[in-house]
Amino acid sequence: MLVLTRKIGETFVVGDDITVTVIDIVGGNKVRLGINAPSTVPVYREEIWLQIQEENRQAAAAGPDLLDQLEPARRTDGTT
Amino acid sequence: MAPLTIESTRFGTVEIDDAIVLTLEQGMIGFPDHRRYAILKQREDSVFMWLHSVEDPSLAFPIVLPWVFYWDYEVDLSDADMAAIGVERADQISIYCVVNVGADVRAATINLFSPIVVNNGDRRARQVINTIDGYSTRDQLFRETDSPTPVAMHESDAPNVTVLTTGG
Repeated sequence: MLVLTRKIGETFVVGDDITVTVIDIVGGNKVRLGINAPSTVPVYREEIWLQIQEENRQAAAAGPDLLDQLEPARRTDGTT
Repeated sequence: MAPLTIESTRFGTVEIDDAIVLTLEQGMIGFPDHRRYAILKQREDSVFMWLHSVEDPSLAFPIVLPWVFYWDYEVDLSDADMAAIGVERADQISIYCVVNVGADVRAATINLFSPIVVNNGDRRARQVINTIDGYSTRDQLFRETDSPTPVAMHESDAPNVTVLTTGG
């Protein structure tokens, strides 16, 4: 892992076309960053990514009998 | 068009047409090593389907068409996601959402936050993040609220689905 120090207003560059600028330091433990990346490069907060991962992992644990339970539940559901 | 055999820990040996195979270049989020999937339907009359790995016999995600449960569901795709699967218009895609079912079936949830988007043409697909506010990875599948228009599922909504058995 690369660790580097930047001041407010300073930037670092990732590859050819991504820049990250320190915009502001808010209080003692927050930093506001400005990210410039091509529209083809997705940028997400890590915790959102981890949440989706966990959701996928749990969903994939379902067995083949799952639909036998779900389908009757749907048919007795007033909404569908 | 060629037959392809999937070995499934859930369903045994399943023969599909290789033309229906989806390619998720990034894999499902958290599963980057598995990129080729087929959509299987356990029963003809069910709205529940499986996004089943072609490579890993045990890897499959229960999925549905979101509109069956959320008739007013909306998706906004980023330019990056559209470009990644090579589509430009809404009529070129199909959208599925992963369903998460625990011990209590009535408490099942649907991930409306990160749907799977499929290019209906070349079958490239991607699990994306819906940029419309208000959806979560765990919305209730069965809601208490009323639904003005019950939504039926049509073949054209989910093309190229392999039905494992009929009837039931």
